[in-house]
Amino acid sequence: MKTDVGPRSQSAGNISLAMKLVLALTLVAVGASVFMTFAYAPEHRVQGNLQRIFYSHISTAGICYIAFIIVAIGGTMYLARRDPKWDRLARAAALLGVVFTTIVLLTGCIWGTGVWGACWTWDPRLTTTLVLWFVYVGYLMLRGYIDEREQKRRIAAIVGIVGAVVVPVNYLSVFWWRNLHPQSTIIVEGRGGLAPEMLQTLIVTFVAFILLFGLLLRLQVRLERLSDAAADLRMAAFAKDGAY
Amino acid sequence: MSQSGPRGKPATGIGIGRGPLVEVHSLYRRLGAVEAVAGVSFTQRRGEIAVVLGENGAGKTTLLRLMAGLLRPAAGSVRTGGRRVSQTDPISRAGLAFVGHGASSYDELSVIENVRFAAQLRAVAPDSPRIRETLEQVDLWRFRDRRARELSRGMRQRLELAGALVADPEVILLDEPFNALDSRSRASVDALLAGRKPNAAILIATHEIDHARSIADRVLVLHRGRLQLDATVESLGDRDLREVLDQAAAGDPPHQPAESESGRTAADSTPDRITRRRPGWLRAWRTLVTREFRAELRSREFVPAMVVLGVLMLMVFSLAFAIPPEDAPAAASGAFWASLIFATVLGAVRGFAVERDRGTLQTQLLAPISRSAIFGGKWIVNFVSIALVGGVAAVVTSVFFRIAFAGWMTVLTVLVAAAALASIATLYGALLTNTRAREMLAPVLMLPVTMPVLIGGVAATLDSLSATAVPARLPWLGLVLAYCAILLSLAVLLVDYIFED
Repeated sequence: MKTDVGPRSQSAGNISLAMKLVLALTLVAVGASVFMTFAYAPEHRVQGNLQRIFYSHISTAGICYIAFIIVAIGGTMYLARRDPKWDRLARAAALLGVVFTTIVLLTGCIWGTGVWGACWTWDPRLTTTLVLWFVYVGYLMLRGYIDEREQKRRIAAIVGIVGAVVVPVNYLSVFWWRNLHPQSTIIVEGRGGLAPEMLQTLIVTFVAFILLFGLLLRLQVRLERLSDAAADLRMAAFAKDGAY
Repeated sequence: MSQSGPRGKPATGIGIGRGPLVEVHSLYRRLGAVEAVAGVSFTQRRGEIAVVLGENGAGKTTLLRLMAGLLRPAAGSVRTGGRRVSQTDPISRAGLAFVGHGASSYDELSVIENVRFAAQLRAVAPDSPRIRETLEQVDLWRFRDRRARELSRGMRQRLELAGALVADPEVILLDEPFNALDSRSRASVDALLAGRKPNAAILIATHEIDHARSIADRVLVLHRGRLQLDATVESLGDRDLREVLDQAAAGDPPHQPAESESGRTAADSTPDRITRRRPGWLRAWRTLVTREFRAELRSREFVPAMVVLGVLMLMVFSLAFAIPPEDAPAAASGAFWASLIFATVLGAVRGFAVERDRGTLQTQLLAPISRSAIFGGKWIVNFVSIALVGGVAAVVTSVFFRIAFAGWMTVLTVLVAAAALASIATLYGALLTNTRAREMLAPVLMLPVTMPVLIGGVAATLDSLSATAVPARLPWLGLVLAYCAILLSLAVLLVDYIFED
């Protein structure tokens, strides 16, 4: 019987040296990020210590974009090549994208409560972020509603590609609709750009989250691979027992 | 048949050769856990009637659907007239006909309208004498003005045959064509097939063994997706076909006679050619749109329900919130767009799903027309339906919220937004045809994607109500228009994948 999973699944339980290296790097980067966020970066003169949430908020928002772009790339590659590994990548990225978007929404809520006095407003950036969250929750739900595996992968790929249309809308929303959410002030000179220590902290935090995302993505893809292997085994047993 | 119809594109691959007309090579397709067709190979020549036999679940229907291009093979290929049959190549479906188990004609259309529709999708003129001839051959000419829903099962089956055969196909695939036919109808179908036989390769999947023997030149036996026997009827001699089938079901391949088609020498293996005609994109699109509007005018299935739903939503919003007069423009604008979006999500998205459930989508997918024409046909119908709902909802909003809501700027905004919403509804409608609980899933997937339309629509309408200068509103319309353009472009790029099966 044909299977979607190659021989690499046999060694799924082993952790390679490269993975161990990435894990060590991630731990160092996350540690450095925590240290810099709370001990190195200066306190904001208006928002006080609450502003420190900014570093993880911005970094996770960036990760969301990356995750959803990976979903679209994975979907496109799956449609072009019909190799299930691209579907697994898209599926894993969507799941992590939803987790990171949830973190963005939660950190935004905490920050907004202190700064705007409200956990939630229908600000365009907030609204489109919530829309993104729903798009990819829908993407994950959809997979549970289609039985045939190839069909599931194909339809999910298309939904993932179409859903990515909301990513630029989300990014550009603060430029199109002037509202509560600030525009980018990170490196704009003469417009209240970040202090050097803040910028360094943001860069380290972003790198830490990138590494964390990469590590989690790798592990999730491996999990998806094992899940596909288990499904193959179930199908093989089913066919052997006489599916006719 | 002429080589190039007056309404069709130039014919390709003309001429009758001596090699096989149909070549099936190592065809493989799994359905869930089951290997429905596993490595089937055979060839078939013009002038030959072959029957496919096998118990339930042997893979007969899947084989025929793969050959018709309705299913995509996981491996292997089907060639007719030397050209590979592909879901993405409309020309490859020209000259090929398939009749499945179920109905694929439109209930709301009359017998002649159904056959005319099938003919036009295959570049046969609507006033062609072929239509009358075909209907007479299946003994339905006298019932030509009767709606398809008013036909008996046997008559319906003959209507399916007429639709499939009206364009003189040269490869004819029939799945259980004798089901529901009485002896008289069966004789007329036999005569019809005998008439087509000299110029066509005919493959019939059936359970009716005795009848199969009487009409077939060749027998193919499938068991668990594998071809167990490929033999001429002549070579089987007096052997009982039931016995042959039982042997196959027991996993004991019956003897393979030397004179099977697949065993012929390579000397005569140059593929035979097929006369192929197909309508242009615009002609196909016009045919589809005309049918859609005619069917909707008769059935009134979608638009009235969408209008009533939209108005009901407005009533709910208007009743549920105590709105002070100074907030009426904002509330009216929000209620209007929310109502229009809900009506779209619940109504327009159903178009493809209903066609899939009734089997009529198959008629379009089998025709030698591009998938983008099918998508375009449904898009225009959805656009008009949503714009109509928007028009009625705008007037009702003016009444419920006591403001002058339905100005020219609102009309323009509704038209632009209807285009974007039609794109979303058509795209997701096509995607969700094969999903479970699609009524639940459609709003979950579609509502988030409609949000840019909601934001742009509400902003443009609010500006309009507050008498903002026209140039200030245009960016909102531009945003919705750009969004619509992106969605339509994506749909066109992905349309072959959307309709894949």
